[in-house]
Amino acid sequence: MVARNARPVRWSMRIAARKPHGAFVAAVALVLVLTAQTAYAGSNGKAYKLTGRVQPSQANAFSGRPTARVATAGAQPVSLVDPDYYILSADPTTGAYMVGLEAIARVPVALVEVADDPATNEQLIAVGRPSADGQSWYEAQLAVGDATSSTSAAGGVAIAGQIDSSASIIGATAAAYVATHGFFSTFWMDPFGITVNSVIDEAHWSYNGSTVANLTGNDSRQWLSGNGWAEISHSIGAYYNGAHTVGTVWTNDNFRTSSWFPVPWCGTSNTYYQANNAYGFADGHIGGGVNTWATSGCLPFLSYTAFASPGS
Amino acid sequence: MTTGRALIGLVPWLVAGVAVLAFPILMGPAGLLYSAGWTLVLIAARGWTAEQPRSGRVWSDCLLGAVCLFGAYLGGWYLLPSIAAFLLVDVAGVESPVVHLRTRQRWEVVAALSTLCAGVAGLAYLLLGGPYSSASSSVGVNGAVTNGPVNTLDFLAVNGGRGVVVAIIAASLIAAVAVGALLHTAGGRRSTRLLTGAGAVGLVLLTVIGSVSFGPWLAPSAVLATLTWFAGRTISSSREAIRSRSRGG
Repeated sequence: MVARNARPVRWSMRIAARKPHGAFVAAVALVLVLTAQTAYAGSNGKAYKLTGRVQPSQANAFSGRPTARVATAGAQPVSLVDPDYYILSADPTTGAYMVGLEAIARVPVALVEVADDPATNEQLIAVGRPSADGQSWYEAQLAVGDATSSTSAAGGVAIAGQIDSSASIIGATAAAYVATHGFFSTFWMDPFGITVNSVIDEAHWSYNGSTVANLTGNDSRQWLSGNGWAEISHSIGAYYNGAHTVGTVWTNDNFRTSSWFPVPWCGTSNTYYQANNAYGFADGHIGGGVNTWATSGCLPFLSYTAFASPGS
Repeated sequence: MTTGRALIGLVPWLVAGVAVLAFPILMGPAGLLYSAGWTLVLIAARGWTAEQPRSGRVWSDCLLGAVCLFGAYLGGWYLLPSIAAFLLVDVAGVESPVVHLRTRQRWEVVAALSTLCAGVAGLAYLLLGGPYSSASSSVGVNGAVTNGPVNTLDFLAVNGGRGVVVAIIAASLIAAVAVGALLHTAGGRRSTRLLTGAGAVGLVLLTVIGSVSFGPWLAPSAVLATLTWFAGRTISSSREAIRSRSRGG
């Protein structure tokens, strides 16, 4: 973030020197740059909207370390159709790489970590629609998640999918609402695209074009317990924003291996999802956001991919 | 008569084969690891004592029986019938078939077969052993949270075609090591060494790059593949020395 923002800051200072009240303008510009919550929407024909501390880039314009996945297996595990590249910067105060991805065209969209640069706290990410292979792989993941959720439901409680038509949040009639659902998923994978652990959040909500109601949700988590990965902590919740225009289903999770397994040279490995959020919007489209990171001696062998997709 | 003695000599191996097959049948996928482990122990023990006198073989049978007895909790007692059969044929002086090789070649064969057994067992356990855990939770309209049970998932159920590709690559590399080493001990050319070497390097790389995921399942076979390559190197050196001596003579 620091390196990428250096030029805009200097430009702002020049304005301050030339114009009356320039210091104020420069200060505002500086605040805007430093809090750059940029959004890249689908107005230019893209199927997604990307939010967070992101700037458009080129694949070859990033000097960071490519993830082993990209270095060894090309576009695996999830290849994208004509991807766009962005630099995702960590929040300078919290260090979090929070990024949001909305499927505004109501088709699945994906975000793939391509490279990272620990020195500048930046990541190169590719965003776009998954290829046919990636799409079928993702649908298989959702099917596995569905099976897990069904098992949970068979245990006696099936909340996901229920719409309480009497629970009108803001006084609108229940008939005006349309029920829908969607997914936001994050996967940590090895260089061959083998899932190490994952969190899939599914939001169910009703919408009428201006507000969201009847929000429920569920998550599905998977982890490779056979080689020592374990779920250390987990929590789930749901909430509306103040204007009831967005409903969020979130999952906080932490997966960890021991210090000697799977292999001693990796040390203790952790992956964190704080949080994996599925957003249900008032116009019916699904989105999501995730702040995820890993700590490991084998960090180059780990990278993440996130999907936002409407329910079928 | 000779044919009859040869057939009698095969009986202990057949009994051992039944025991080895019993492990996965009785214990499920985890039994494959026991199968591989005890097969290696048996092959190594018989190979080691092949050129011993009869008394030496009898003593080694007794020792192996004791090991299996003490290793009962690891399934060792399944091997006891076959060890008893080996003891009987050794006492009777019946030749039980074993790989008759010079010591250095024997090491390469044992290492190659060990790689094969460890690789097959590791892959089988990875593919059939349900290495993934999964869980789900729900949050209702009123915010109530319900947590589901933890279940297991198969490797291929989670990874689909990618899992198949990884398994095929691993199996090919394991086969390359084993076939290359066996051809090499049978007097194969330098290319067989290259096959073993390429397989071993590929297996080690696959294990290291997959260390956070499937690597641990392949690690034993990767180590044994490396040992196989080193064992074959000593044979190559010996052959080179013999050739240069005969050229000099």
